[in-house]
Amino acid sequence: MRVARVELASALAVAAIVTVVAALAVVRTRHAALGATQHQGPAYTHLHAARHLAAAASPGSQAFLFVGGLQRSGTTWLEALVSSSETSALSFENMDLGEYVRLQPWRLQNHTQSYFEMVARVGGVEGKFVQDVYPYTYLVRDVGRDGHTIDSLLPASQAAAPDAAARLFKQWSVWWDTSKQVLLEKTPENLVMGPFLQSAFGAHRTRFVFVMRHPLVWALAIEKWIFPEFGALRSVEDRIAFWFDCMSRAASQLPQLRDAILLQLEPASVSADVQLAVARHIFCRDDAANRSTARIDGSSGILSSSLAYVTCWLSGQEFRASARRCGPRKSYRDPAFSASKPDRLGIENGWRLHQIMVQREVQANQYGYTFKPFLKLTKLPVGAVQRVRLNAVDQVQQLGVVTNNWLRVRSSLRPYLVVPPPGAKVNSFHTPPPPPPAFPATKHVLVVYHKMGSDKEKPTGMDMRMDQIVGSLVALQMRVHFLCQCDVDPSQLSPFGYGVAIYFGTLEQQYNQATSATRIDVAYVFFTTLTMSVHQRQLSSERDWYLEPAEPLPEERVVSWLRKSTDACIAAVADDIHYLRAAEVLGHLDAERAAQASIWIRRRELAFHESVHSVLTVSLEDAASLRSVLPLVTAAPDCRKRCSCSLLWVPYTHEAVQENAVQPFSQRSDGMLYVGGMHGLAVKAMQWLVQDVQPLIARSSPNGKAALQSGGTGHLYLVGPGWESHVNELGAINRAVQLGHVTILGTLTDVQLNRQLSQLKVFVAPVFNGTGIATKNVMAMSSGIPLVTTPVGLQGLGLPTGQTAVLTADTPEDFARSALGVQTSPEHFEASWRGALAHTKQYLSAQHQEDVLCGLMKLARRETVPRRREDAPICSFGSSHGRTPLTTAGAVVQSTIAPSGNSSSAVVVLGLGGSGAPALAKSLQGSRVCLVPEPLKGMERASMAAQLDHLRSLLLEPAYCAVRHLPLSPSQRSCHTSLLASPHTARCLEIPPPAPRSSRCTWTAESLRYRALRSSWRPPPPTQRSSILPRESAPLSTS
Amino acid sequence: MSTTASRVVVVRRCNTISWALQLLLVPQSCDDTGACADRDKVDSSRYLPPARLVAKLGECRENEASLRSLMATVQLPQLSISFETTLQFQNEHRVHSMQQVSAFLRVPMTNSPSMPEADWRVPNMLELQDHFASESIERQQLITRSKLSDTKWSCDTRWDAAGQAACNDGRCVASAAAASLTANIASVQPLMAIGAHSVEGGSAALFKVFVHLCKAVLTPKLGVRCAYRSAYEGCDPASVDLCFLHDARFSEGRYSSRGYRYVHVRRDPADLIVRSFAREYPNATHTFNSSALLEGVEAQARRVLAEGLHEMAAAIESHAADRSALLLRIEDLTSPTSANATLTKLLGFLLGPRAVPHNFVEELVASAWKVMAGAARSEEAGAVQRAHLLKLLQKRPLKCSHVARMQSLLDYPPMKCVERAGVQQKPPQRHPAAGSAAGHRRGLRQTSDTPLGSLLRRQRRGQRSATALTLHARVLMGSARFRFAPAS
Repeated sequence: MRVARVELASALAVAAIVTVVAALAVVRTRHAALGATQHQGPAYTHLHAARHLAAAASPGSQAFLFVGGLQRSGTTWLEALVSSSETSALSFENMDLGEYVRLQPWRLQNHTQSYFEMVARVGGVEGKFVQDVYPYTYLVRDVGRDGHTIDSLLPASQAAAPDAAARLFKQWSVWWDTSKQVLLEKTPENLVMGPFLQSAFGAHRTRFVFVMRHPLVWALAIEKWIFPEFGALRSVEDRIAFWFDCMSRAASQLPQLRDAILLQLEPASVSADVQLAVARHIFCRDDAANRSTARIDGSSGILSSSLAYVTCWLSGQEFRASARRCGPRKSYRDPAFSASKPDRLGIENGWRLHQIMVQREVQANQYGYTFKPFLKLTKLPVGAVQRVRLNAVDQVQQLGVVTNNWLRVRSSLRPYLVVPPPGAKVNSFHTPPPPPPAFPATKHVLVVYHKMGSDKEKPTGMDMRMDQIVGSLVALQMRVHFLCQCDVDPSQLSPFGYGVAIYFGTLEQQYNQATSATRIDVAYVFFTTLTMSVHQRQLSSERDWYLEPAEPLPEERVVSWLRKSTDACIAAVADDIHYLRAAEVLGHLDAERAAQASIWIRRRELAFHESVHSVLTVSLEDAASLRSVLPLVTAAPDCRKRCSCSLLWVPYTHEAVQENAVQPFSQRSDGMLYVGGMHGLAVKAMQWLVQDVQPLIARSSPNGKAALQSGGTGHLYLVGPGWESHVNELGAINRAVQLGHVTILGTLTDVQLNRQLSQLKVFVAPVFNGTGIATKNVMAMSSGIPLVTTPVGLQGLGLPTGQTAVLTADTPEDFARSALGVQTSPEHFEASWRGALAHTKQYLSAQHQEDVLCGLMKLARRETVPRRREDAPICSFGSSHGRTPLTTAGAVVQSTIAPSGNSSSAVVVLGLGGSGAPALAKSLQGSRVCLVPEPLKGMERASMAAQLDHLRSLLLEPAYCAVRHLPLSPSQRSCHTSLLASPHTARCLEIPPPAPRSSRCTWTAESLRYRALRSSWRPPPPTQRSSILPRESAPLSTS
Repeated sequence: MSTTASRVVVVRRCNTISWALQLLLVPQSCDDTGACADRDKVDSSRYLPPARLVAKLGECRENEASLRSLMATVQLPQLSISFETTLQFQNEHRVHSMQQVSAFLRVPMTNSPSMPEADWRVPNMLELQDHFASESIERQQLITRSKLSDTKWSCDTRWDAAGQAACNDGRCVASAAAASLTANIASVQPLMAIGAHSVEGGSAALFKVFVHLCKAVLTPKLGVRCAYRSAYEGCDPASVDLCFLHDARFSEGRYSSRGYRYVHVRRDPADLIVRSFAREYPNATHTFNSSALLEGVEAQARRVLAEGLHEMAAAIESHAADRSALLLRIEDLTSPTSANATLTKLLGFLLGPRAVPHNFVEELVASAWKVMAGAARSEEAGAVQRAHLLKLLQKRPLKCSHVARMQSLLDYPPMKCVERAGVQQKPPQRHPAAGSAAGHRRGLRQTSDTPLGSLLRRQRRGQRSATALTLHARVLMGSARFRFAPAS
C-alpha cells in the first residue's frame, strides 16, 4: 500500500466509544519502563533495596502518581482504588513519631497541629500541607476571598523551579515508603496543578488520575464544609459555577499532561470494569485486580448517597450522611425559609434547579452530565421526592450521567474520559471482569500491528485499513486483542471502542498478557512495514541499509510465538508486495542496492506468507501475484483440520456518500482535483500531468490556454501536505504554479476537502507504480466525483475489465480526453460517478469486508457456531463468497441511475432568540435537522474554548445536537407541490436515519448499535477538527 | 470521508424594532429542554419605556453583527433567510424564499412554516414610533453604539458575501464574535433587592419610597423593571431588575447567576414585637387590662422570636460576609438626622456598578424625599402605645432577656428588664459581624430555643396556671391568633 498520508480522509478517527478497555486508551504513551520493572525476578528484592538507597538520596527512579479532584468528589475513594502493594501514599505510617515532633510539618503552611491532624484524619495526609514549595491553597475557601481567582492561587507550570522536585521530594519522602515503585500523592488541587507537577517531576515519571462528580451533587455534598464567610461559594449556583470553572481548567490542561485519566465518579464507582481498567493501567499489568488493595466492586453506595443529596435538597432539607436521611437545613443557609417550611424551600429549590438547567445544561453535557433526571424529580410532590430511590436498571442515568448519548461529551475530553460503553446495561457494571464486552464474543482474535513513526495526527492509509479491519471484527462479535509494536500509544492509532483490548509493555509482554488472558482462535498479523523500515534505514544514511537484518522482524517473532504456544489460525494482512515495491521506492536513490535489497526482502516476505495459514491482500492483483509465487498451502494438515488457508482480497473500504448528497453537474466548477501527499511517486505523476496532459487539454479546449487558468477545465488543484513547502524544488510543477495552471490548496480539513470533492468536476489520479491500492481513488469513488486514473490505479478496486465507471487512460492524450470529456458532458459525468459510487457501496464497503472476514472465520475454526434465527449460521458462506465483482459493475451502473432521493447532510437551523428558527425547523422533514435556536445559549458562562468547541460540535457532529426536530407525522410529510413546485422539491425527499447495514451474518442488538454508531459518526482527528473554526489569525478560505 | 458537511440555514430578523419588542414583551418561560415555547404569546398591555427598547435594540444589532462574524468563520455551506420574508407573511416572497431554502437543504418542507404574526401593540406604541422617527438622542446613541450608518439600518441581504468580505479584512475572529454574542448576557446588571421584615419591620414605608422611585426615576430613566413581592414568592431575575421583598425572603441562590445587590433592613426586635402586637390589636391598650396585655405581649414576643426574628437573625448571619449585601436599620432611615445619609448609602449600594448619570443618586434621594417624610410619619404613629407595651414586655424577665439577647445579636442596645428574685439575666451576645461565625452560630442556637419546649419546661416547673398555659399553647402552636377576651 502506498504510504500516502491520508489524514484528509479521516476515517481513522472512528467514534470514540470509550469502553472499559478504552480506559486504557486514555494513556497517551506507554510507560514501558515501569511495566518492565514490575516483573519480579530473583534479583527483585535486591533491586528494590538498591533503589531504596538511591531514592533516599535524591528523587530516584520512582514514578509519581498524583490523584486529584475537587473535595467531596471521591478522591479518597480514588486513592484507595489506585493503591497497591507497589504504591506508597503520604501517610503517618511512614513517619516516625519523633521525627514528626521534630519536623512539626504543620508549620510548613502555618497551620495548627490540631487542624493538620484533623484534616489528615478525614482525608489522609495531603501533599499540599507538608511542603512549602508552592503556596498552600484551599480552593473552596480561598477563591473569591480578597479577590483571588483560581489562577492567582495556583502555581503556573513555569513556576516550577529547577530544585522544586528535589525539595518537594525531600519534604514528602518522609511521609512515603520510598522503597515502593510508585509514590502516590493526593491533593484535591492537583486537579488544576497537573502542568506544574509534571514540569517539576518530569513528564516521564508522572501520572495523573482525576475524578469528577455531578456538579449539582458536588455542590450539595460540599455544602457542609461551606461557611458564610466562603464568599464565592455561598449558594448552590455559586458552587456549580465554581465546579465548571475548575473542570474547564482541568480539561484545558489535560492535553498538556503526558499521562492522565479523568473519571466520572458515578459510573466508575459501580463499574468493576472501569475500576479494573484503571488499576490495570496504573500497575501496567493484567493482574492488577490482585495487586490493588482496593476492593474492586460495584456497590452503589456512592450513587445512593448522591441521589439522596439531591432529593433532600429538592424537598427543602439537607442530607445527613451520618444518619443516612434528610434533616432540617442550617438556618443560615437558606434564611428566607424557616426550618418549619421545608415544602416552601423545596419548591424554591425546584425553581432554582430549572434555572440551573437552562443556564448550564449544555455546558454540563460537555462533561458527560445532565440535569434532566433531577428536574423530573421536581414534578413529584415534595414528600414523594424524599422517597425516590435508585432504580435497578438505570442508576447511572438517574444520577445525571450521560451514557446513552455519550457523543455529547465534550470532544476534547473524549480521549480522557472513561464513561460506560454505549448501550451498556447497569448489570454489566456489576459483572466481575473479565471478559469486558457486554455481548458474547464468538471468537478471540489477536491483531498484531507494527506502526512506524510517531506522527499521531497523520494516520497512514495502513492505519486506516487496520482500523477498518478491527472495526469489522468487532462488528462480527469478535473479541479483539490488539498488540502493537508502536512508536506511539495504540490509542492514538484509533480510539478503539467496544470489544477491543489494548495491552501495554513490550510486544512480548503484550503477547503474554493477551495469551494468558484467553485462548486465541485467530491471529491477524499485519505485514506492512518491511519496505518502510528499509527505506528509513536508507534515508538515515545507514551504510548497510540494503543488507538483510540479522534479527527477526516483529511480525516474524509473533508468528513464531503463536506457532509455539497456540493453535490459532494465523492470517497475514498485506498492504503491498514489498519486494516489488521496494525496488521502486528504494531505487530512486540507488537502483543497484535496491535490487540487492529486494532479493532478501522477497525471500523474507514469501517465507512469512508461507508460515501463516492465510494471506489477506489489499487487491485482487496482489493476490494474483502472490498466488503465482506462493506454493499451494491448502493441502497442509492444519488447513484440512482447523484453519482456512486461502489467499483472499480483503478490500480497502470507504464510507460512501448518499447519492442525493452529490452535487449535480450544473453546480460544480471546472477543474481537476488531485489529493495526495508529496512524495517521489506523486511528484512524478504530477509532473506528467502538468507537462504532458495539461498542454493537450489546452489544445483541445475551446478556451485554449485559458482553460488552464483557475476555473478552467484544465486547471489542477493540488491537495495534500508537502506541496506548498517544497514547491520551489519541484521544477515543472513550480513553473505550472507560477503560470497559474496549478493551485496548491495544501492540507485541508475534512469539511474543506469535502467541499472540494463536491464542487470540482473531476478527480485525477495518474498512478504509475504497480502494487497496493491507491486509497485516494477509493475516496474519490465513494465521494461521488468522477475519477480519471491510469490502469495501474484500478488495482485493488475490484473493477471488472472493460468497466466504464472509472475512466482510465494510460497515454496523455487519453487522459486529457477523459478529463475534458467528463467536465463537458453532464451525461458522461453522471454515469461516471454513479457507477463508481455504486461499485464502492457494494465492493469497497465495510459490509463486504465483513462478509469476507466472516467467511474466513467460519473456515478458520470449522466448528459449529451457535445458531440464531431460523437456524441460520452466524457466518453464512453462501452467495457472499460467490460474488464476482468482475462482472457486476456495469449492471450496477444501470440499476443506480434512478435517484434514491436520500440525503445524508445534516441540516442545522440556526438563529438568534426570537428569530423564528424553531418555526423553520418545524417545517423541515427529517430526523437530521438540528435546531440551534440560539447559538451558545446555555454556554454564556462557559470558557471561550468551551463555547467554540460547542459550536464546532453543533455544526459538524449531528449527533451532538441536543434539540433535534422529530420527524413529522405521515400527514405532515405530504408534499405541498402547490407551494414547492420546483425541480428540487417536486418529490418528497426525506432524510432517513442511518440504517444498520444488512449482512449475511446475524447481529446482536449491541453489535448493531455499535455498527450504527461507527457508520453514522466519525470525528475527524483533533487537529483537523480544530481548524474548522480557523485560528484567530488564520486566513479564511472563501472557495 | 467520514462525515458529510452540514448545511446551515441562519434565520434572521430584519425588522429590528419588531424583534426587540418581541424579546422585551414575550414571556421567556422555557421548558425542560431549554426551548421557550411560549414566545408566540405577546403581552400587549405592558407599558414599555423607550430606554429599554433602545437598550434592547442595541443588543439585537450587536448580536446580529456578532452572529454574522461568527458564521463567516465557519467554512460550511450556509444560507441566510429573513424571518419577515420567509416565515411571517403569506406572499410570493415567502414562496420564493421557501423554495430557495428547500433547494439549498434538499430537504422537503411543509407549506406552513410560520410564526403567528405578532401583534406588537403596546400602550405606548405611538410614543415609541415617534421617538424613533424623530432624531432622538436614543436613536443617535443607538446608531453610534451599533457603529451603523443610517443607511444600513435595514436588513443587509448580503449575509454571506458581506461576512466573507469582512473576514477577508482579518476582522473576523471566532472567539471575539462568540464573546460578543454572549457579552450581553454576561453583562446583565446585578439585580437590586430590598428586603424588610413585614409592615412592622418597616416594609410599608420602604415600599412607598421605592414605588415612587421606580415610577418617577428608575424605570423612565434606566428602564429598571420593578417588582414587589410578599411571603415566599421571589422575583424572576430574567424579567425583574429591582425586587422589593416585603418579608425579606431573599433566596440568594436564585439571583446568584445574575448577581445581586441586596439591602436588608432590620428593626429593633423589641420594637418589632410591640409593633406587631399593636398592629394586630390596634386599640389593645385601651381595651384590655394590664394582665391580659401582659400575657398578650409575651405570647406575641414568643411568636415573633420564633419566626420573624429568627429569620432575621439567620439572614444577618448568612450575609455577614456577603459583599453583595448591605445591612441597614430602619430606624436610621426614618430618623430625621440620619435618613438622608442612610438613603444615599442604600441607593448608592443598590446601583453599585451600574453606569448612571452624574449625581443620579442625589437625584434619587431628592425624589425619595417627596414620600419619605410621610412614610416616616406613619412609622412614628402609635409611639405612646408601643412605649406602654414595651414596658410590659420588660416586666416579663424571661421573655425580656430573650429579646435583649436578640437585640445584642442584631447590634441593638439591649433593653433593661425588670429583675425578679431567682431570675438572672444572661450577658448579651456580641453581634455576628464582630465575632467568629462559630461563636455566632452558638449564639443562635441559644436563642433558637423552641417556644413550645420552653413552655413545656415551664409547665413542668409549674410557673403558670393551666388556663394561661393552654392559651399560650394555642398561640405558640399557631392554631389561631391570640384573641383577647374582653376584660370582665
